[in-house]
This record gives sequence, structure tokens and C-alpha cells, in this order.
Amino acid sequence: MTRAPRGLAAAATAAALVLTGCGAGQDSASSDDGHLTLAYGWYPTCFDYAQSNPFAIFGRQVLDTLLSENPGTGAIEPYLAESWEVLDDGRVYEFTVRDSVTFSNGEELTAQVVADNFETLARLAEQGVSPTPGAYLRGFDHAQAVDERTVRVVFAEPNAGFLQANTEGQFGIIAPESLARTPEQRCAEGTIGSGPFVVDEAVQDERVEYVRRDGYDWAPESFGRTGEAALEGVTIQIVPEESVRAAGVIAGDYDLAYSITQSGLSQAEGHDDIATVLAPNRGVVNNFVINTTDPILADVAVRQALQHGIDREELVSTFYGAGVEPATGVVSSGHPFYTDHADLLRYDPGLSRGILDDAGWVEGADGIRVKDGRRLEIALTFVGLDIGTAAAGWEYVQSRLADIGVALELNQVSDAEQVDLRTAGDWQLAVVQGAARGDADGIAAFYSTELTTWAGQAPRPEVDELLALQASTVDPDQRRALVDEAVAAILEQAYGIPLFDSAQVLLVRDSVAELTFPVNSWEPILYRVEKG
Amino acid sequence: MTKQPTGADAVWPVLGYVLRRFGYFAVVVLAVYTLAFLLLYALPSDPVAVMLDRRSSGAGGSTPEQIAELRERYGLDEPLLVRYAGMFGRLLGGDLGVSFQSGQPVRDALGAVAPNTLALAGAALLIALPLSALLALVTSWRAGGVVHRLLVNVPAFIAAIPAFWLGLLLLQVFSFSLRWVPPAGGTGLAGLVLPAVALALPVSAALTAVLMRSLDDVQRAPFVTLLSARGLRWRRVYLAHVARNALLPFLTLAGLTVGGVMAGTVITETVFSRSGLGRLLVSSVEVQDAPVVLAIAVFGAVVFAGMNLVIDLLYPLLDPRIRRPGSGVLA
Repeated sequence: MTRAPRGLAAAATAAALVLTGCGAGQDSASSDDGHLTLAYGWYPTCFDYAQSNPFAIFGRQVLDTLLSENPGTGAIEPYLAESWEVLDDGRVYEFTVRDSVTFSNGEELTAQVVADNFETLARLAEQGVSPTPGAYLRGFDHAQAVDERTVRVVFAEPNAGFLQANTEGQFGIIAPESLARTPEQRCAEGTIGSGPFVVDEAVQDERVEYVRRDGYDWAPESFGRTGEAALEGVTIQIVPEESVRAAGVIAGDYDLAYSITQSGLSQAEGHDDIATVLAPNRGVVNNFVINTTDPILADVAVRQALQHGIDREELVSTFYGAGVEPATGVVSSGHPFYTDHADLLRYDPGLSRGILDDAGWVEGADGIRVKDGRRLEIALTFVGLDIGTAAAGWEYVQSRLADIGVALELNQVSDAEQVDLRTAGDWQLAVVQGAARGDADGIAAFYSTELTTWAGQAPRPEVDELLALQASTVDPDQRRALVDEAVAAILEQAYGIPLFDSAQVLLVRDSVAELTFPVNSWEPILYRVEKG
Repeated sequence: MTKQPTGADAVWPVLGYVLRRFGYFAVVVLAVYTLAFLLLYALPSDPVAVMLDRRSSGAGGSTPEQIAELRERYGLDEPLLVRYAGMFGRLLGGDLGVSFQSGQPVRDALGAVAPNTLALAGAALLIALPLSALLALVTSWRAGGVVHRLLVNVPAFIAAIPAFWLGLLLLQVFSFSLRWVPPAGGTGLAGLVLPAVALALPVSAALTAVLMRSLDDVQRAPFVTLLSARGLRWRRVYLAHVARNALLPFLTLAGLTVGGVMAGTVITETVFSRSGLGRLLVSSVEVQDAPVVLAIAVFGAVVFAGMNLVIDLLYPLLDPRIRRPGSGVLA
């Protein structure tokens, strides 16, 4: 999930709120121990997690998955599946489904229901409406119930990421009643799961109310809690304006607020009863994707010069606030496949200049390099969400690159324009954050030219092969070695320019305890959360 | 000597006037539909690709075949003209289509939020109209007087306050500090007050300015001097004659203001976290949810042109001069 926070005009807003002296008291939401009120910026356009990555927080609370990932060790652990087996080198997966689990509509969880879940997901993926589960199910052949409690999922070729995929919310197991719905109905109505909460009411653009599921008793061990959720209910209040989310937490109307930037943090300064919580990202970091079929960017020297021509430390410290760190690899540091490559990403303008000199790019009269009559001009496409920060940061990058003789042209576009440019392959550099997935397949989905959605990247056989090979390598150590090799090649050849990693920043009242984000920053496990 | 119009002579021009106004109404709605349709569907960008992109957030793409199939499913493969005519026919029949993003019938999505916006806009007008009328009447009571000089710049001052800033200020004071009204959602009357005030103030600024100006102008007309000279008390001259004659421009602007109020709901609904057409429009535009945007545009046009139609039809009732043939007003 990638969604940048935005505000109408954050600075003026913060000033207004400071002027009025946002003192205020607590209570209202906070006084009710059993109920959590969470301020969030966007109402989900689709309530079906399988079809809609950007709204993880809404879907996750009502869903359980077959497996869970231990946040401490990263080990895959039982959840709705008691045990599992990987057969035929990762072509066949057998799960033993937990007994006496029910969905919130009363239907029972059986092996057949799980098999139907996978078959339905594969069908949705075929229709193209759920690309993410489609990617997780690469090579899917069929799923069948072997007996009442055992389900077998069969792939045409090994799928090494499949176990991890079963910890992701897109693979949340849903009730037969929901499986029978059309994709549109699933989006509009949401899906029925076996999770610790049930949607009670959803009011368009206003709020989504959840109540605790009575009799829930199948949380994974690593959640450190058994039985029903601690909270009786949860309200996700949709508050589009960041300053209002922050002011609401300060005043005690909300227990916590998502998507806070520097302006919200300064509002909360000096309030001892409010903590700043960073929910780490776990995915491919914010980076420049590179169109390697472009005549200029096909030159590895140019790409390497960019790699070492950007001062990531200064970019981050000057233009971004809490929760943003300079990239030291292709993925977040909390990602299971993270390796520290700070050296390959270090700022070294001298090195960049040398590489360009050696490659025959000669500085012209205006300081911009030229080779074979072609100026070293590169257009950077970015989606303009924030009014201030984004553009200012890229202007800074522009000036740094000018120092090494590269003319960067800034091209701010809308979401829709970005999609057009991308599908048409009509772009040079673009700013993108990869999807959050704690598996090497997330790296492959971004950097393999066979899988990426960024058309226009020339095939890079050595990397593509490694990334394809890791996807079918079940042995963890072997897989890791393949991924490391691929990532090193990606950074050395500068097929991508990792820039920075951004965590979610939340404001949380001190009455909220046990708030954790084991899977990714957009999926707090509200089941564990207590209020006191 | 002028001939007094008989009943039959008066009916035809009025009927023609009424029919013409209905014609204008239809033209405005059709023009908005056409423009919105062209902007949404004739542009090169592909709403299906945008939808899929948003759903996947870059984690796995869809094949061109899948995209083509989805385009067919949403009827995007038909020629533009066929879609233009077909969609207009369905709109007339009340079928607004299905949202690309949510899969929800557009009629349901609009039905869920439109009452909130209409309540907000209605409340804002209920505040703005009397407020601006009162302010203008008080200000222009004596042209050039102390009150006049004091209050004449108030509308400009109010108009200069940014709407979202005003909203945030009201929220901070009345919700977060004084805790009189809830800060978000705004279900019920308590939640309606602040956003309605925030929306009404900038609107009433323009209305006040126009009415003030027109009151000042009418006061300078010879008939006012004549009435005063005949010994009528100023209060009666001012309220019964000056105010009545100054009303028409005010009314015209009030009709146009409906458009301003509808547009203002975008910011007001965002700041006050209210659901409504403004919010829905913004989120739908961001993701090119064409059926929703088109429906909101046409709905807005119907409301706006409808209000102005009503006001146009009121003119002849309010001002007898307009009813007279040859007055040139019934054009």
C-alpha cells in the first residue's frame, strides 16, 4: 500500500490551530475503555481486501489468514491452519485446517471452504480485478479438499513465496456466502471473515464501525492473547484533514490518528499524554524507477552517476520529517530480505563525475554534459499530492544532479496521467514506492522486467533469471543467496535508484496499549489493543 | 395613450417566457452532460487502467487481455457516440451506472451522500440569505452615514477569509475547545451548525455586497426623492419601495450562489469530515471514477439550473413591470 498523506495547506492550517491555542481537555472517546476511535484519512472505495490493497486497515480486522508471521523471529506460524507441509519442491502445499472455526455469519471453516477460497481468488485474478493475489498465486493449478480438514494447493511450478503470502490479508479466508458474490458485490458489501471483529456499520466517507466478534478463539500464538478481542468496538472515523486528525487526538476525541506529518507533530508538541508512534514500512522503498529502453538511460554510466549523485541523507533531513530514513537497500530495513547496501548508494559526486567523464559525457558551456550531440537531459515524473514537500525535494535533487552535469526536468502529473505514461512506456525516471510485502517476491514484482508494471524497461537477463529462480527455490538459504545476488546486481547496474524509506507516523494517546504492526504499517492488529 | 393589456394579450408572452426558461434549463443540463462526458471519456487516459493500478498499488500487474475484458465489461469498448447517446438515455431513465472503483450502483452512492450535501447547502443558504439581507439593510439605511461607513467594508473582509481556514478556526474553538459540537461526521443538527456557518459566511459576503450596492443605487433614484417629498416616513420608503426595487439583483445572485455553495461543499465537507457530494466528487476525480463524476456533474447542473429556473419564473410575480408586454424584460 502506498499512499502519501496530504493536506489542504498544512502550514497555514497549523498556524491557525496554534493561534487558537489548542489546549483543550481529554475524555469523550478516551473515557470509554472498551472502545477505540481511530482517525484515518480515506474511506475505502472497495471493502474487499483481495481486490483492494490501499485499504488494508479496513479489511484486515475482519479476516484471519491460514498462517501468521512471528513479528520477533519472522518464522511462519499456525493461524487458521494448524500445520502444513511443502511437497514436491514447492509445487504442492498441504494445510491442515483448524477445527471448530466459524465465520461471523455462522458458516463453518472446512478444507473445502479453503479450497474454494483459492479457486475463487484465482478466478478473480484471471478476470484481472485482483492483481495482487494473482501475483501471489503465480503458477496456480488447482486447490482441492483431500478430507474434511486437509486442503491441497497445487502449482504448475514451484511457488516459494506461497507460505508467506498466506500471512497477507489479501489471502484472508472468507465465508462461502461471500465467495458466491460477484467482484462488484464483494467490493460494495465487503466480505465475511472469521476475524476478531465484524463490521457493524459503514457510513460512506464518514466512519466504519466494528464490534467484537463473540466467541472468537483462534488468534495465533504470537499475538500474545487468546479469546475475544480486548476492545468491545472500534470506530474508524474518516477525517481527511491532517490537522483535524491531530487536533482530535489532542482534544481526546480520537485515541489515535494515522498519516501524520511534521505539521501534525508540531501541533502535538508539549502534550505529554500523546505519543508519536512509527509504524515501519515493509516493502520496496521509495525510489526512482528507470526506463532502461530510453537512449540516455540505457547507458549504465548515466544510471550509476545518478545512483551516487544524490545526497539521500540531506534530502531526507531537509525535506522530510519523522519516520523517513535514507534508503540503504532496495527494501525497508525491517524487511526479511533486507541487506545493507549503504556503500552502493553512497553520495559521491566525484565518483559520478568520473564515471560520466570515462563514458564520454563531456560538460558543455552551460554545465550540462553532452555525448554524440545529445544533452544529458532526463525527465522525472512524479505524482503531485503534497502541495509543498514533494516538489521541493525533487527540486533539491535537481540541483544536486546539475552539479554533476545532469539536467533533470521535473514533470508533475496526476495519478491518472502517471498510469498512462507508465503503460505507454513514455517516461524516463519516475518516483514510485513499491507495495508492502514481506517476501522476496515483492522485490521481484518490482524489479523483474517480466513482472513489473512499469513498461519500457529493457529485459535484464541476469537479474530477471535470478528473480525467477528465487521464486521457485524453497530452501530458505539458497533463496536468500539468489535474492542477495539479484539485489547487488540491481544496485551496481543502477536499474533502480532507492531513495528513502517512509514509516507511517501516528499520534497515539497514552491510554492505548499493545498497539503493534506485525505485517505492515497499514495493518495494526487491533485485536491486541487495550485501553486503560 | 398606451393601451392597457387585456388578459389574452398577457398570457402569450408569459407562456413564451416560461417555455424559454425551461429551454435554457434543458440546454444547461445537456451542455454540462456533454462537457463532462467528453472530459471523462474522450481523453486518452484509461479509467480501467487507473482502477487496476489503484487496487494493486504496484504489486502485480494485469495483462492487456484482462484490461480489454474489463473495458468491455464496463462498456468502454463501444464507439464514443454510442456511449454518449446510450448513457444519456440511461441517465434520463434514472440508471446512473456502476462505480468503477467501488462496484456500487452510482445511484446508491449518490443517494447515500446527497442528502447530507443538500442539508448542508440548504442550511448555509438559510443562514446566508437572511444574514446578508439584514446586514445590507442595516448598512444602507442612511447612505453615507456612520453605520454605512463602518459596515460597508465588512463583506470584503469576510470574503477575504479562506474558507478552509475559517472552518478550522470554528472547529478548534467550538468543537475541540468548547466542546459544543462534535468535530467529525456531523450527523444531526448539532453537527450541521458549524459547517453551515463556515459555508454561509463567504457566500453571504457577496450577497451583502450586491444588495448594499443596489440599495444605495435605488436610493438615488428620483422616485425616492419624490416619495420622501410627499411626506412618507423614511422607514416606509426604505422598506416598501427601496428594498423591493433593490431585490431583483439580489435574487439573481442568490440563484447563482447555489452554484457557489455547491462548490464550497468540497472544502467544507473535507474540513468538517462530513460525507457528501463534494467529498465524493474529489475522491472520484482523483481515481477517474467516470460514472460517479458524470452523475455528480449532471446532478449539480440540475440543481443549479433548476434553482435559477425557479427564480426566473418568480421574476414576473415579484416585479409587475416584467409582466407588461413591450417592457422588453420578457425576452
